[in-house]
Amino acid sequence: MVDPIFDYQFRLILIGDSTVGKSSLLKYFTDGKFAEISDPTVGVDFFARLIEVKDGARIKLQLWDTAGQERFRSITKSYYRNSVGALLVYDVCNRASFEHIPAWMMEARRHIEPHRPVFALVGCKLDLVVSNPARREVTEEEVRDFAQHHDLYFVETSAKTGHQVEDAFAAITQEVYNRIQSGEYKVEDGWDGIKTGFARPGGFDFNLVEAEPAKSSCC
Amino acid sequence: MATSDSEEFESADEIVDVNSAGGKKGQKSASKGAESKKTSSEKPQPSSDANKSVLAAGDSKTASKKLEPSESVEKAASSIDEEKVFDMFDDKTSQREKVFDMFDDKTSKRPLASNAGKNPVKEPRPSNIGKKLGSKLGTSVSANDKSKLGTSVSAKETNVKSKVDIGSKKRSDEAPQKTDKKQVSVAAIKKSEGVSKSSKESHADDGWELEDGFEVPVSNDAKPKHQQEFEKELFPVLNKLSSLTTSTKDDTTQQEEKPSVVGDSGASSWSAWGGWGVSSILSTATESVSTLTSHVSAGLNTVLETGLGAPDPQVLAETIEKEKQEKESEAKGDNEDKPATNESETADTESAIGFGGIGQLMSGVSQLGTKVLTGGLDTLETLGKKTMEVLQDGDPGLRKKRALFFQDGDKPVLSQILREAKESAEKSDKMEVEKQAAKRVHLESLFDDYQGLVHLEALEMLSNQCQLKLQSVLLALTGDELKDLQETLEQVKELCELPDEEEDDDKDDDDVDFKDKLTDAVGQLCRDVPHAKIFEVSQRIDDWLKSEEAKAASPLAVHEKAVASMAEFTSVSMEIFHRAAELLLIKTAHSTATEAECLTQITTILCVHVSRMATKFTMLLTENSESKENNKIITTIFLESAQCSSYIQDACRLVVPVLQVGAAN
Repeated sequence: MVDPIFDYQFRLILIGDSTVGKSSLLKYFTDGKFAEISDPTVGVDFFARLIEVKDGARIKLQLWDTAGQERFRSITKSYYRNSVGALLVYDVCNRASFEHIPAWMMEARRHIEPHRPVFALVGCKLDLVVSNPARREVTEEEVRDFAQHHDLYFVETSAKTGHQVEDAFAAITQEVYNRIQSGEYKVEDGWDGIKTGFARPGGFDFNLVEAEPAKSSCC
Repeated sequence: MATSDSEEFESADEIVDVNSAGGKKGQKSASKGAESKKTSSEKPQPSSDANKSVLAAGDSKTASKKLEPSESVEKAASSIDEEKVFDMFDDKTSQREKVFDMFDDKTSKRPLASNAGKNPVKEPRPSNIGKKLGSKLGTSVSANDKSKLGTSVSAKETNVKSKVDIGSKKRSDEAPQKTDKKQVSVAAIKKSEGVSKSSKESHADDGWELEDGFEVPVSNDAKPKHQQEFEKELFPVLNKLSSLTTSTKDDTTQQEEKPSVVGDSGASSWSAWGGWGVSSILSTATESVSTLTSHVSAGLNTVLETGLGAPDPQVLAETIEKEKQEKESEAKGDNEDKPATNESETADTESAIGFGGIGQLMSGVSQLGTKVLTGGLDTLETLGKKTMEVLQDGDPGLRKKRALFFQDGDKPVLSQILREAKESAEKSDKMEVEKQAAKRVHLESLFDDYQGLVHLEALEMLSNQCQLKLQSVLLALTGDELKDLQETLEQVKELCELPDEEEDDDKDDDDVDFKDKLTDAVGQLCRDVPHAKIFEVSQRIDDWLKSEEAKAASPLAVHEKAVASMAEFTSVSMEIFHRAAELLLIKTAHSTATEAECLTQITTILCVHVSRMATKFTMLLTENSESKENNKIITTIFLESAQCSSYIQDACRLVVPVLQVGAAN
């Protein structure tokens, strides 16, 4: 149960309308499992997974799965602040969920301020469209245009088949990491969006080993 | 490679013998000299009666003297007969002339011989040199037999020749040269009736043959001016000689020339060898003057320069073996790769023919030459092994010596040492930090792993949000309304105050009590708060405490389990508080008094349960074993349970603003 060692912890928040598939997406990403039926999220749920970025640094993703239900909206607002990135989740078979994306984005921007979060646009339930194209309510093209316009990463996924689930999280993680490398993001006291890894037995060693090649490569 | 060397040995023997035979004062037949030489080089078993005692003495003396070069210098100095040296020199030069004549006639192909033929011409007034040398020799030369000098002349010739050939071997085989020399000097001793101490010392057969056999160059100081001049004259000849060698390639020539230049400064062994007859006397005589250090350093340089680093004695032995085989195959003349060897072979044959009447002797010599070789190679192996032993003594991998001898070798070695030191220091520091960190962070990291921390953080965020809300509400109010609200908020706070240290409830029915009480309290606080998980966790912990595994667990294992259990239980408790807060926030109708009471009840129940859990683990610990470390672990477990209780109480306090917000609405 003890987590492996990590270099950084990124806190990412998943936001979007109720029943678009946020919890399922996270369940697949962290467990590799898909549940046909799942209870609506109360307030916020937590998931965690370790992921490796391109230069080999290990990142612990702490994923905040917010309730999409309207009645929790006032609560979930409280949770934005300490996130470094937000996954804007919509249902490719639910036009309204996509149309609400700008609102979700605005809300996240507003609450995460003064920090500038990394956004990723994630379409869910792609498996339904594959089996029955008529169910698609949001075309890939329009989402791509939207994503380009807002300079967002965009991907369509299926938590049932696992299609591109990994890509969605890998992309946002890499982007956050890149911003750390570029100096845009820093580990700050009083902000939990990015934390450095715990120093624990063995972990120290690993972190140093990881850090050294990175240093030498830039010199 | 080594084959040409062994060929050299044979031809060297021949030359030596021929010379001594041709010399006026040669008192023994060449064959006899050769024979005794061979046996002596194999092992101190002289076949000649005359040499027996001498060799034995030489052996024992060198053995005892191997580490005292200065002593040998003194002895050498004391055993000089100037008169004889003069005589010797006269004899020697004339003798040499004869030899050279012979070479001139018969060995046209042989570079050495042709060179040697020129030599007497370039040597002006040998007697003069002899006289001047005499004074110099007074300090070093110990030989008192004329024939011995003749021998050393030829020995030097041999060395020169072998040098040329060795040049083509890229100096990878220094040791054979040494042996070569040694053999020669041994031969010289044979031929002299009275053997001087210094000459004995020059041919030790024991473990320190490196030093004795490795005839390190005469230093500049030891050389008379005449000799230096003579050498200068000689070097061009030698260089020419080397260029004549068909086998020698460019690198050979370079190596030839380089040592010669160095030789002028007296730093290299080549100079002495290039010094021909005159210098041979000197080098033979002054070899004992050379200090142990110079021997070792010269040997080391060779070892290091060849890039072998630390050559394995076994490799040496293999080379020797190969040498033998190649020599055999070469005898058939099928080795095209080594023209130098072939050449020397031809030269041998020719010289043998040239000697005509002595031809018979020559054949005997060449036969026995093989024996000498075998013995010499055996000695060589021992030599190599011992050398490496000595060199590597207290200096594995020759690291220190390398650093001494290689200037640019300094940097990598130094930096490596520093790096290693740094690494080891860092490692030990890190270990220390890790140990402390492991103790300090253990509960916290587990608490994080079980997501207790993130629930607490989320709860804190909600709590902060609620406080902000309350403040904004209070700011909007004035007068009585403000006063009323402030009072209400204060009341809620008081209701939520946790009682001071709990007296322990009855322990008998704690499990049932815990479940019922908690379910009741949580249900009253907020209906929908999921609390099944906490019963699951607590049940699992209790099951483990009763299991066989727990009874067999080591104190350390019990400690780990205790920490993990308390961390998990506390984490689930955090989730209850967090969920309760969330649900209370979206709840529309509030009965704040009940909520506050339930909240404190829940907090108390959870804290008591953690404390009991700690007690159970410490009891298990004392049941399992009685050792001193138990006390330490028990203390730690209680400290950690206190930490868990404080987390729970913190969570409780964080819920208070949530209740206040509910009351304010």
